[in-house]
Amino acid sequence: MYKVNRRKFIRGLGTVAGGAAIAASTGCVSSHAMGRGGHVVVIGGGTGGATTAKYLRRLNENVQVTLIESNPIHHTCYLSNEVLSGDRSLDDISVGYDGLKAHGVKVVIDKVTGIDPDAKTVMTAGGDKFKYDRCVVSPGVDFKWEAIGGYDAATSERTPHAWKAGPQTLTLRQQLVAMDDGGTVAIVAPPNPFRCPPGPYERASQIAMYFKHHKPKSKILILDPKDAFSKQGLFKQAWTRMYGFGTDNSMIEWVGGAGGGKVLALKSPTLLEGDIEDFKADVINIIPPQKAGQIAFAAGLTEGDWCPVNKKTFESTIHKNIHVIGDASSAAKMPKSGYAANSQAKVCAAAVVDLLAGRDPGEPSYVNTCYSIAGDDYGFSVAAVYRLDAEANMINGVKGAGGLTPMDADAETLKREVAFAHSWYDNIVHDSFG
Amino acid sequence: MTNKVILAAAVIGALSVSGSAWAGDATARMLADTCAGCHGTDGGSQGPASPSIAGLDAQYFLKSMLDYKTGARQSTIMGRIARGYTDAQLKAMADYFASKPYVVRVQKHDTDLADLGMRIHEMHCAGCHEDAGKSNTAEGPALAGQIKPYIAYSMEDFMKGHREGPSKMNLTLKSIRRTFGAEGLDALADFYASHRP
Repeated sequence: MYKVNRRKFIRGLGTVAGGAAIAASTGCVSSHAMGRGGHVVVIGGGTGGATTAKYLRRLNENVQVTLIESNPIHHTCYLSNEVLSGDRSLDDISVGYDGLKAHGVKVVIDKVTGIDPDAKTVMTAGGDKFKYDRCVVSPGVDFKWEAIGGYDAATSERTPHAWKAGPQTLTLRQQLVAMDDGGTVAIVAPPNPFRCPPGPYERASQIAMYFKHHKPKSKILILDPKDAFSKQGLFKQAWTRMYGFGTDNSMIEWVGGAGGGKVLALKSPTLLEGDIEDFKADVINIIPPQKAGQIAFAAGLTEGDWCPVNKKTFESTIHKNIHVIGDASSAAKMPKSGYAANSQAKVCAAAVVDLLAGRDPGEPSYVNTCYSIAGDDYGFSVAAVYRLDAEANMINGVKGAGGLTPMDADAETLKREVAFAHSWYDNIVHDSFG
Repeated sequence: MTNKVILAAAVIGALSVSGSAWAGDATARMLADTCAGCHGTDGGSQGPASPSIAGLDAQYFLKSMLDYKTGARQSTIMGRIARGYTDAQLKAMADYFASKPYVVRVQKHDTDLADLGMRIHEMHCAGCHEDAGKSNTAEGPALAGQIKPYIAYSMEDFMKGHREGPSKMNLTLKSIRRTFGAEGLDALADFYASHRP
């Protein structure tokens, strides 16, 4: 059983509102008896985990919440493409956990190594054990390193994926800055499903915006195993209007699966082996195929690449009392997006509070909104409001609602969408972490 | 009351008579929490452009959402979202946000411009937006401390006829623009942004 480490215990008191820390720490010994509302361990401090922790405390302050995350600072993936264009610094997409601590969440910086669903215990690399009444797992995505020859975690330090924001985002930015005008950057897009479906194409747009202002002879080559992608019509229209797409002098070229866009291997730092032909580039950005985060596999929560859940509560259909939200969960038809993780977290938190109190969880309601900034004063969005079809265990978009920015939106609308994209950022970060 | 407000009031009346949402529907809080990713926790926006919806008059909130739904009020994204909720759900959300304290956001502003804005406000706007723009009613929602770019968008939309409002709104704004130029409208936005909690 978990032995309270004296020094850690005192350090915990220093950072967390007193009462909550005591209850949460001693709660590891006998969680339910001590915490009147029960003890929830949240694994992962991204958007999904942070939102769950905050909203659990908002919904019932008697529920003790421990959030375990390996990094003391989180870099949001959303808007990290603006770091690549130079419109935003890494600092601008950094957020810590003081906001959650102020809500009475006990934040533990450690790496979770396993979950024992029978003993209802979470184990960490630091050697600690946390007993839970319910556990919420929000680990995000992991990469299928075996999918692209010559490309692995070590190689990615030099040829960045930058698909988990952080140091690699800066590496890629520095490579773009160092590249000579007239150079080519290749973006290798992943197959479905993956985190942030419009992300690779917004990335190409943001880099094009930077090139247009600073390196106008440079090119962006998107190599895609797919034949279609998210917001395709809107992206292509934006590229046509701003970056010469479709002309001989286009700044952006997209090669789809049928055209040989599938990449098999990284042969050298500047050479990619494609399905049909090889591609040379001065800067290469590989976004590998994806699967649920490591802990989901370690804890036996996966079926295939992702974690099946009851979509009303996000409780795993494999292990009771463990919930999985965000990118790692199978939450069709919601996409793997930050807003979806935030929305699922609130549904999950409400269900967990009900279940801990012995109540039937209420009816859920979910939303996704997702903005892409394709150039100066040029943004667009996709939105959906969802309801649960409990019988089919499916989260369906409400008919007649949602959808994309219309193709004929005027310049003022596209400009406002940029302002609302930035508002989306400030508000979702505050709603999740603040 | 204008006809529009009376209509919204009638809708609210009808909804409260016919009972709120269906028995198995999501709670007002569950529905309202779906808005927070863009409008802030409990509707208090961090800005820089999307408005705070906390503390808005329930009738005003409901009319806005119903107008987004029909397209009577043009929008970038709100129409697509409003159509995802039943009128009863929107009513529940209106009541939920009305029960939250109105948020006055501290914002950058030009003090000289804000002074001009105060004079324009007293001359042209104070009849409906009472108490220096702090009063909060179905006919005159609070403007003081509301997110500045949103105020500017709203004025522009009224003048272009992209948003239905009391017939006076459109004419008043155009008259301010004729007298003071575009600066007059900026001045109003700066005045409302100059409020402190």
